[in-house]
Amino acid sequence: MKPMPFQYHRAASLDDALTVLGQAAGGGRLLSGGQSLVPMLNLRLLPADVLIDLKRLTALHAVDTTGDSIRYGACITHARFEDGDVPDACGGLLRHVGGGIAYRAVRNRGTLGGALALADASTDWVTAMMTAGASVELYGVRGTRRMSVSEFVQGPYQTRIDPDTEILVAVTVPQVSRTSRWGYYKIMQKPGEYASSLAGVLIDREHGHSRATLGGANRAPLALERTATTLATAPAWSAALETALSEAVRADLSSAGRGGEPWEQASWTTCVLRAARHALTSTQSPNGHPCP
Amino acid sequence: MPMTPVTLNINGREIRATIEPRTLLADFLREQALAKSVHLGCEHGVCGACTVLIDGQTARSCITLAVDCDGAEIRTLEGLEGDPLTETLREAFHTEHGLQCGYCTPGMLITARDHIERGLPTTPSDVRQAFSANICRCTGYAGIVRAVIKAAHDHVGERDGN
Repeated sequence: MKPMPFQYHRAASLDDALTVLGQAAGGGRLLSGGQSLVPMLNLRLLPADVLIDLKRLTALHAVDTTGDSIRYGACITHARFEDGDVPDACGGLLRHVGGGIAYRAVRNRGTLGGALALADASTDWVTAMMTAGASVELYGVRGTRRMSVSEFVQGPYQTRIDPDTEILVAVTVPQVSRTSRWGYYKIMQKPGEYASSLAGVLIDREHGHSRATLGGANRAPLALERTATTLATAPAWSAALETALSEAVRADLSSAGRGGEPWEQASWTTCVLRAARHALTSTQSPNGHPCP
Repeated sequence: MPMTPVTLNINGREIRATIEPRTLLADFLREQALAKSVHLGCEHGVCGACTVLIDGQTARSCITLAVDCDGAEIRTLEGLEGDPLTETLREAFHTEHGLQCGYCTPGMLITARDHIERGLPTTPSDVRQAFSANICRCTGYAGIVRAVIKAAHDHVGERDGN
């Protein structure tokens, strides 16, 4: 289908974008890569009076590395992560995740900020950035807010952004230690599809973090605390660890009130186990891809 | 609804037009530039038939707005006449029977060209994974996979002067 008529405004600055957004009184849509927005417009799934294009704002493409974290501009494309065009704060996790999103043609235009702001349940960046302990930066008419990704994403398509007065401008990711290990796994029928389950794992003993996240399933992303604790002290992959992790995942799902058919529970558990196995068994270098 | 002036460089030719902002790049290419190789299969970015090059990178023209491409360089198959890798791919798709109805083929060729140019692995498994980006309902992909592998092999041969 073709979209309904709308206006197009190329933002000259963030404040200009906010002005137009405010004037649109609910009819304004921020345009970044458009890889989710334009399909929705084509299918007429949401109304739009004006599209406000943020892509020409160079600040939103910037990468700022401080001693212990990297701040990524919201308009950085998935392809730039895939190609190693931007530094990876997580020892290869971000590059791996970026390269697994949809298809290359989509990755060339789709952006980190756009994906997080939409927060589809199967968005890779939601699961990955929660696993990384990242936080988002929201620039608005009332100033700038920062919050963790886990706080920001409340559920599928539900974030804490005020859509008429705020713009997600950056994501800040803590740098991992050189001995950290990460794992990531998705379950989907074919490459490039939205995954029914996604799981991310990050074990950073030097910095005292261990995280495990379950995404997808048309639910809010889930931080798996007991699973993370079990992984924090696991020396290596083993049958005994796999059993312990299965128990931990089930306990985490149960205490989160995550119901589901037995096959769904099995799918979620398997997804987390494979991410955990990836973390503990793949060859990982601080700079690039693991070799599973 | 206000119309917007845009200038796009399409296949080496500058095209100016005043268009509705909702105009999809795919429709602009087909109607303003008469680039009929650009096919619309789904209009929501999943089938890949509309794949073109924007500033040298593959993109889905059905989910790109023409106004968003003001100042950009767009290449479709029409603009790749004489490009050695494209000619190698066309020959390979022909000899390996990589098409039947031909609807997905332009998108396949653009994707294949990008894949080979970026030096990505061309084992059958790698090619199948990469070409999940382009839906083909006719061939079962067997001929497409053979064609891409053959073209990659031939292209290296040409490049190295064999």
